[in-house]
Amino acid sequence: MNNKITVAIIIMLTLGVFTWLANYGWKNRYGSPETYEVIAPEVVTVGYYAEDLALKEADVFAQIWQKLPSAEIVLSHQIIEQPWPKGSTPLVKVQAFHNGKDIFFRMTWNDDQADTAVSIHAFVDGCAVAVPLDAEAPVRSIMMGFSSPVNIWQWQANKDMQHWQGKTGVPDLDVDFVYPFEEKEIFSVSIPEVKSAVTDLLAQRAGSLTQKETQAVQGRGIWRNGIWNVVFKRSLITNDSEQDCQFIGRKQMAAFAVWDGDQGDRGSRKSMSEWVNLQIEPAESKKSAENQLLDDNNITSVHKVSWIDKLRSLSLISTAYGETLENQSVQINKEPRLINLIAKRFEYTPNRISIRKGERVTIRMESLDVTHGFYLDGYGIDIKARPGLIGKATFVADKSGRFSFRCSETCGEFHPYMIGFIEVSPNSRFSFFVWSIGITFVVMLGLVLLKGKQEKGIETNVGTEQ
Amino acid sequence: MSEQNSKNQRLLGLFPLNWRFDLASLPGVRWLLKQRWFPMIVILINMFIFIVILMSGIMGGFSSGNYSFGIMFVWILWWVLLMMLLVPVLSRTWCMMCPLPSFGEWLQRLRIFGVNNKLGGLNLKWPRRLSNMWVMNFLFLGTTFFSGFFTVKPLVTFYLLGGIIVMGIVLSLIFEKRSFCLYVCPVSGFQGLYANMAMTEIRVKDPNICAKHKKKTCETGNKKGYGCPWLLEPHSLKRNTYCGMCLECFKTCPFDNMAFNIRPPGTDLLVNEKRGLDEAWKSFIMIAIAIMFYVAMMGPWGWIKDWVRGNTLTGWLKFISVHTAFALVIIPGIFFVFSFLSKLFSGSKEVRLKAVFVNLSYCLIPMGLASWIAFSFGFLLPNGSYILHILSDPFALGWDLFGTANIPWTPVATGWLVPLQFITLFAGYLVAADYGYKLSLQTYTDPAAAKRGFIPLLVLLTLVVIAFGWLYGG
Repeated sequence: MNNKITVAIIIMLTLGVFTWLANYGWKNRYGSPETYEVIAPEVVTVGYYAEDLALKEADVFAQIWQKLPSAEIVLSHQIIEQPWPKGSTPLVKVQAFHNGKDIFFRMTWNDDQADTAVSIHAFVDGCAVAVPLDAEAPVRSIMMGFSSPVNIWQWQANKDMQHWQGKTGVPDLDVDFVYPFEEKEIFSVSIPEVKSAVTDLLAQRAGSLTQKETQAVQGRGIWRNGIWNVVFKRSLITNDSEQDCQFIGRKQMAAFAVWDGDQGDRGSRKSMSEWVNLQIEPAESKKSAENQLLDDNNITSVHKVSWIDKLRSLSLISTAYGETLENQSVQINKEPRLINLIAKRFEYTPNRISIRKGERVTIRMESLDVTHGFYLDGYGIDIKARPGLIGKATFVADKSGRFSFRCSETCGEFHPYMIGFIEVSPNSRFSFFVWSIGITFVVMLGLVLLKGKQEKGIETNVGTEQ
Repeated sequence: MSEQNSKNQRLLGLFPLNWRFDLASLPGVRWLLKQRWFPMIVILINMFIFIVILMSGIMGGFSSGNYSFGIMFVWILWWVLLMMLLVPVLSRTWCMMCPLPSFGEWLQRLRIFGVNNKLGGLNLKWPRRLSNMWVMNFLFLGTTFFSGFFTVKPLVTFYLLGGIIVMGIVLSLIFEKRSFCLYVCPVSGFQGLYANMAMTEIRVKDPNICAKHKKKTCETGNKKGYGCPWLLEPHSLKRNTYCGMCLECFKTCPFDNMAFNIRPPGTDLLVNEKRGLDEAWKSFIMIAIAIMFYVAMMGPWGWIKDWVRGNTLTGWLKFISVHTAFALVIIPGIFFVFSFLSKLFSGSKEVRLKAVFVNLSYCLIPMGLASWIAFSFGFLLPNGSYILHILSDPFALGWDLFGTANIPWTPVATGWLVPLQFITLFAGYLVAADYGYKLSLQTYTDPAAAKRGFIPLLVLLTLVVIAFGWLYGG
C-alpha cells in the first residue's frame, strides 16, 4: 500500500479513537450513569387488639407492647432550617395498634439523659407523629412541603411532667402565675392549663405550624434506663375531619420525629424520618396477637444503623468547635480578638488577616455554601464550618511571619486552591530574607567592583569542551 | 582566554566548573546504559501509569481533582518531581522515560525493543523556520490558559495528555524521528531550557576518537541502535538543551566513547551555541507562568481564581489577555530596559544590544528554576498526602488496594513552607548572580565594561528575587 495512504489511515484511526474517548468522557463528565433502586416506604403494621390503655404509668410498659412487632425507623436530622444540629438521634422504634375505637402509638429511642425542663440554653426532649389529612396525598419529602395539611402530635417532656406529675420542671417559672394579692389567677392566657402532654398541631409546609383549637390527643412518656418510651392515644375517627387526620381505610401515612434537648434540639431542629406507610388492620379481622407474633414477616426492620453512622452523628460535635490547646495560658485572661471569616467557594473574606505577634485571636468561620475547612499552616489549627454552623478556634499568634490558611474539606474543583493569608507581624522571616538578599547584593557588588585581578570572558562549558 | 584560566572557573567561587565524574565508568551502569531494553522497560512502566491516568481522566469527568489519580499523579507528583528532581539534577531524564511520544516512535520503527533503522512514515524534514523553541513557547503558554481546568478537572487532563499523544503520533508519522519532541511538545521546551542547569550531562569522553571515526554511527545508527532520534550530533554535543537522553548513542558508539557525567549545576549556561530570542523568551514565559500560577493557585484572591477557572467567559478572556501580555511583553520589556542599562553602563559600543539581551537572559534560568522549585514546595507539602489516597483508589470506585484509601488529607511541614521557599530563592539568586557575572564577562570584550554592565543585571536579579520573596511569603 502507498506509504501516504497508510499514514493517513493510521492518523484517521488515531483521531477517531481519541474523539470517541473524548466524547465518552464528555458525556459522562458529571458521573457515569448509575441505577438506583427506589426504596419503598417502610411499613408499620397497626394491628387490631381488644385492649384499652388509660395511659397510666404501667400502660407505657403494658404487656401488649411486649407482643407487638417493632419497626425500627431511621431518622436523619433536618437540613432545611439553619442552624444545623450538634448531634442527632439515629433511629426510633415504633409500635402501633388500635382497638376499633382508639389508635395507639409507642415510640422508644435511646437518650442518655432525660431533659424535662426548659430554661436558658436548656431544651426539652420530645417526639412527634405526623399524619397527612389526605391519606391519598402523593408522597413528598417532608421538609420540602406537604402534599396536604398534616396533623402533628407533639409530645414534650416538660408538658408530660406538668400534666402527669404536676411539676413545672422549673420551680420559679410560675412565680407570677398568681399574684400575691389575688386569690385567683386572672391572666389565664399567660400560662395555659396543660390538659395533655401532647400538643395537637396542624401544618402545611415549613413555617406554617399552628396549634389546633381542639386538642384531641393524649400521651405519656417515661424515661427509664437511658430509653424514652412515649405512648400516644387518639380516637381513630374524630368529628373534625378538616383538622384531624382520620384512620378510616386500611392505609395511611405517617412520619416520626425526635427532639434531643441536650443536643440543642428545639423547634425545627430535630431528627425525623421519611414517610412511613401505616398498614391498618380492620377491626373485623380477629387475628390473634399470638398469630401475629409468629409471623416474622410482620416485623418490619428498616435500615440497620451501623456503628459508623452513629459515630458520624456524634462527630458533628467535635467538628463544630475547634480550639488549640497550645499556648492558651500565655494570655488566657485577655479577651481574644474576634476575627469573623466568611468562607465560600473558593475564597475567604477577608482573605488577608493581619495580627500582631503575641495577640490572642479567635477565628470564627461561617460558610455561605458548602462545608469548608480552615487549616492554618505552622499552627496546625484545623476547624470546619458546615453551612449554618460556626467553626471557631482560639489561639495565640506566637509565631511571626506570613502563613497560609487553606480549606481542609473538599468543597469543589478549586478546593486545593482555596487559600488565605494570615500575617503575624512583624514578618521577621521576610525581613530576614530581604536583609540577606541586601547584604549579598552589597557583597557581590563590592566583589565585582573591587576585584583587583581582572578576568577575561569565559566562552565555553569548560568541563566538556576542549 | 587561556585554557588554564577557563579551567579555574568556579561556581560561587567554590565548585570547579570543569569537574566531572562519569557514571558510566562504573561497569554496572555502563552495562545498563548499553542494553536495548533500557530505557524501554521504564517507558513501558510509565506507559502503564499513564494509561491509568488517562482512564481516571475519562472516568473522573468534572469531579474534584484532589481525589483523581490523573490530577494528583500528573500535577502533584510528576510536576513536582520534574521541577525539583528530574530537571535540576538529571537533565532531560523525563524525556528518556516519557511514554507520550512512544506510540509514534513505535509506528516509525515498527519495533519496540529491536532496531530497524529504515524508519516508516513520511519522514519529512521539520520546517527550518520552525526549528527553534517558538512553537513550544506559544504552545506551552497556550496550554497554561487552561490551567484552571486541567489541574482540577480530570477529564481536561485527559484531553491535554490525550491531545499530546495524538499530536505525537500524527507528527511522528509525518516528520522524521523526534521532531515532535524537539519542536512541538509543550513540556519539552522548558525541560530543555532548565536542563542547562542540570547536574548531569551526556557527552563524549574523547573528541579525538570521534574525529577519527568516519562512520559517525551515533548519527546514522547501526545494528545495535538508532541514529540519534533527537537529530543531534552526539559526537559534538555541548549543551543539554536538545538532548533527550534516549541513550541510543551509548548503544551505537563502537568505542564506548560516551559519558554520563555528573557535573556542577549550570555549566551549559556558558555555552554560546544556538542561543537566540526563542530561548530568551522561554525564560521570560517560565517566570511569568510561575508568578501567574502562584497568584491564581496559592494566592488569596478569589476574583483571580474566578477568572482562571473560567467562571465567566469575560473573566477568562481577561485572564488570557493579562497573562499573555505579562509573559510576552511586560517581563521581556522589563528585561530589555535592564539590558539596555547594562549596555549603557558598560560603555561598550561594539557589542550589539540584541547580543546583550540574549546572552544575559540565560542568568534568568537559575532564578526561574528556583522560583519553580519554591512554587513546587507549595504544592507538595500541603497536598502530597492525597497521593496515598489515589494510589489505593485510582478510579474513585471505593477500592483500597494498598490500605491507604482512607488516609485523610494531611499537610506535611507546611510551617516550614515559606522558609524552604526563601532558602530556595536565595540559592537561585546566588547562582543566577554568579552566572550573570560570568555571562557579562562573556558578552563584553572588555572585562571592565563587563563589570559595569553587570551592575544593572545584579539590580534586576535582586529586585526579581525580592519580588518572588514578597509573593511567596512577604
